[in-house]
Amino acid sequence: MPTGLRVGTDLIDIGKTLSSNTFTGWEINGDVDFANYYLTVDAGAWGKDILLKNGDYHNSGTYNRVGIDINFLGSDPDKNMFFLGFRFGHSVFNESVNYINTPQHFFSPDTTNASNPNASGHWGELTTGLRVKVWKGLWMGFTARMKFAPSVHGSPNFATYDMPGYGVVQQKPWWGFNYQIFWRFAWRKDKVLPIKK
Amino acid sequence: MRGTMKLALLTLICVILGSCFNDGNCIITATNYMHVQFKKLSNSKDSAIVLDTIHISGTYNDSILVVNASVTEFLLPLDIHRETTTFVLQRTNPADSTTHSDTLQVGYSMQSKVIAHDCGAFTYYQNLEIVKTSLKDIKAFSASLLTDPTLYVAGSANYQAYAVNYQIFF
Repeated sequence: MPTGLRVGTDLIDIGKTLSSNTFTGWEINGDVDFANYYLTVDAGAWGKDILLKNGDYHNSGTYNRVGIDINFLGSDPDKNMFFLGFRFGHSVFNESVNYINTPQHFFSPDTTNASNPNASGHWGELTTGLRVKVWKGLWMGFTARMKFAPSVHGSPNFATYDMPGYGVVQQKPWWGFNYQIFWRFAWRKDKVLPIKK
Repeated sequence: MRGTMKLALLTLICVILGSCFNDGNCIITATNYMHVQFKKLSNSKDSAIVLDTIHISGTYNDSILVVNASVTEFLLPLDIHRETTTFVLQRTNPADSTTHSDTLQVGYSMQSKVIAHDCGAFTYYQNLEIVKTSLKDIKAFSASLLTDPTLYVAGSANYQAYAVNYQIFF
């Protein structure tokens, strides 16, 4: 039986949003324990404005991930975690690009405006990280992600560049890192297994 | 079990760190040049034709490209503003010096692709198909226009750098 619900957010996304003019994003993370297994759910959004060598690119969208973490510190009395896990990610987004298309000869340069509205995609992730109890219900930790097998459904006239939640889809695998802060709502004390001597 | 776990963790960390240093590279394979080869109908070997001019629709109110050369293959530029381009090839038969005019109209779709922020965005031409032609024997190969920039030779048109799109038989 689960003993509590942990809800948190990614501090890196908040920091990037506050410090950068080209990124806005947020992410909420939650997990529930089933002994040493944790059902995890993430939800978030990001938008990027990227200046290209010959134009500019913009995207925005939401994403979510569902998966399982396995805690390898199951006998820890504070339920601190070192985990390995898997996630399935899904994203809904739109993107657009404006650029100068300069052919080699004959034709005059052309300003191209292309968009990919209502695109969607999914991917898989292998994750690892730590969760450490800091004070009462306050927890901190990190999650490192190796993202792989991205798949995008969208306009055939636009090759997706950056999928919210995944990143640059041409990069396989891609990576991600979250530094997170959580609050754990505990409703039941867990039985702590005695350490065998 | 612990050894396996350590190995799995080490592998995961190495892959993640390796991904961090996986820089994007600026290899641009986009081109608006369609590569055609001329072949002999009798034996499918290279056929040198004397190409006089090529009329290309869409190039600054339509253009005439003066070639006046014996060629076995050629790069034809697709109109980047439209999804069809019409070529009219004026050629001279070296055997009897008679002139011929052949029309080839092709249709295609365009796909915008960002390579990397420091490389830029490019248009890829694909789903190439013949809309209309007066040529009797023409064989389609690649339906995409692609080039390999590593095969470029400075100062000359290196046909090998471009994917073959059509073979025209005379």
